[in-house]
Amino acid sequence: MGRYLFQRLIATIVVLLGISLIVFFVIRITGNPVEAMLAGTEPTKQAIAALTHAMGLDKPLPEQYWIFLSNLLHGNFGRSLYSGQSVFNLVRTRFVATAMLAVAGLLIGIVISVPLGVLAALHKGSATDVGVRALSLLGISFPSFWLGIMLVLIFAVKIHVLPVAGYSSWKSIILPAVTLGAGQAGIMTGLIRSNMIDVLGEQYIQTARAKGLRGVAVVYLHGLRNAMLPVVTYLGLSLGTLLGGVVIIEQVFAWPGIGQLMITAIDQRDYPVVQGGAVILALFIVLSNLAVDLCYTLIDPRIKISS
Amino acid sequence: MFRHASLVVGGILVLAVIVCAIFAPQLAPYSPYVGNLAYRLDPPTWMAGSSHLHFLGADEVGRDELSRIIYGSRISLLVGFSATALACLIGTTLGMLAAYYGGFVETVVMRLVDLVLAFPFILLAIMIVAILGPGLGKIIFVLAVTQWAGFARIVRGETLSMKEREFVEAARALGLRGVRIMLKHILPNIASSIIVLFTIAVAVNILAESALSYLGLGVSPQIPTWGGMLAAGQLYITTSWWVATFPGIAIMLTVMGFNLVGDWLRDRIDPKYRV
Repeated sequence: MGRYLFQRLIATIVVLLGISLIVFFVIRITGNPVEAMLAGTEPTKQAIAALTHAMGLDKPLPEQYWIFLSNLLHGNFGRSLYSGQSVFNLVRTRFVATAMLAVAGLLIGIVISVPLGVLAALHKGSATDVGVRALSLLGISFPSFWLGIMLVLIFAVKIHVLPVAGYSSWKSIILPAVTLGAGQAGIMTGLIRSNMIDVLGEQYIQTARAKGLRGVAVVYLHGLRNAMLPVVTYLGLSLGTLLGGVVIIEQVFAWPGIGQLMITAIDQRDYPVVQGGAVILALFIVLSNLAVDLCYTLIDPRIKISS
Repeated sequence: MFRHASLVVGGILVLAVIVCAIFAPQLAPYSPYVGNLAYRLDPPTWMAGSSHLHFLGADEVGRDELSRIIYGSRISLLVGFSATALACLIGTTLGMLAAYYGGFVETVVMRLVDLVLAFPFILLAIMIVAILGPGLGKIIFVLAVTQWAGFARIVRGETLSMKEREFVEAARALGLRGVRIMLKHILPNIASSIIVLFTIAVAVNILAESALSYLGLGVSPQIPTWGGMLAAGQLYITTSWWVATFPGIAIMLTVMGFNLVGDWLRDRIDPKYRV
């Protein structure tokens, strides 16, 4: 276990280094970011040179990267070139909104997919099963932003029960969360269904039934717990995709999360925000993946983590 | 029953989109580029107040929705197929090399895979496109760069199990070299998994392209794309719902078609990847 943790930690550090390197260089591909920042203001050569020097952008790239890295290690993610606020604080305030949306969306996804997946598995091959599979296919096939717009059309424009966009009251989160949850439900329903079918065929389920346990207890206590393992794996591995989905949904609903922050920063070439935000996001995803791995042993004691 | 239905329905959807893309000039009733402001936001033919000239209505500059949707299939399919092909090429090559040679090569490849999976790809794509500027080639490149990891993971796993099989050992005993064994003996045996993944990945890439176009990071705005049409339509959602609705349905039906065919293929040739 100790050795495993150590290996995972090394891998995590390598991944984070890689991401910081990619982000650092990608944002500098087109040359001096200062020129892009000052575009439209017809700056003088002196103004460009002065700002470039003030921001340390005239140093050689490897040296700049080294400064960026050592600042990171000291917990200094830099400051926004526009607002002057510390990147860490900017990301932290936005992170709450993003996390709320992601968690609400996941919960809605789970609430929809668990009953549907179990129902379809119990009645495999029936009309119910076909219906659930069709629904789940629908869930993975529509673009989230389109569903978002359609929900706005129905609930905000036609019947005026929910706000169109923004972040004003608890009602604001309903439409973005449902949009995110519907897509997640599409993926998870299929996973739960097929895992449940496998699990229901196992001998321990037959044993539980033979002991006289009633159907619901067998399905939920013995079956679902085992069927959820691959779902947890999926959730862990797809966190990046989930956050990617959140980024787009934030655009549709003008939700003030990390996605909006990053897209605005990319637009403005506010590269400390882009760099810092990307590294913090990646850190979060990588640590969550590690947590998921460690959770396996809790959910399924049969799994022993060796090397 | 559902199984064969999925092939029939999926096949019809995919074929329909391909036919639209190839025969767009013959099928489209109007030019997708030129509008007539007299028909600005003209409703679909079945609605009151329609001019009955535009079956799915017209957009904010009076361009025919149906024609633009038909032409939009071209970018979706082109990007969907090219990006997937490139991702498949990169992922399959790296995945096979990693599994076959193991050791350092495997570590490097798998860390790269972790790297790609540990980052919301859409942000990376947005970053690259925002910095390099939009363009067809760049979008294909960006999507491939962010999608190859899925292929590498599956191919590595499959190659690892093939590597130990007798026929591969036999080939090695006959003195065949690594590359030849991989291409002639391992690749044909893992091709079915790759084909299944390919079909699903086309669907994923079509969705991703529409998302980039929606964010205004797609190809040039003159070229009709479903995502771009949707973004423009969102501005008129309170008065003219059809402008944003129909491109979304086009995306959904296309993605559904590829997913259905992929599901069928998976059940058919590779029962262990059943979702």
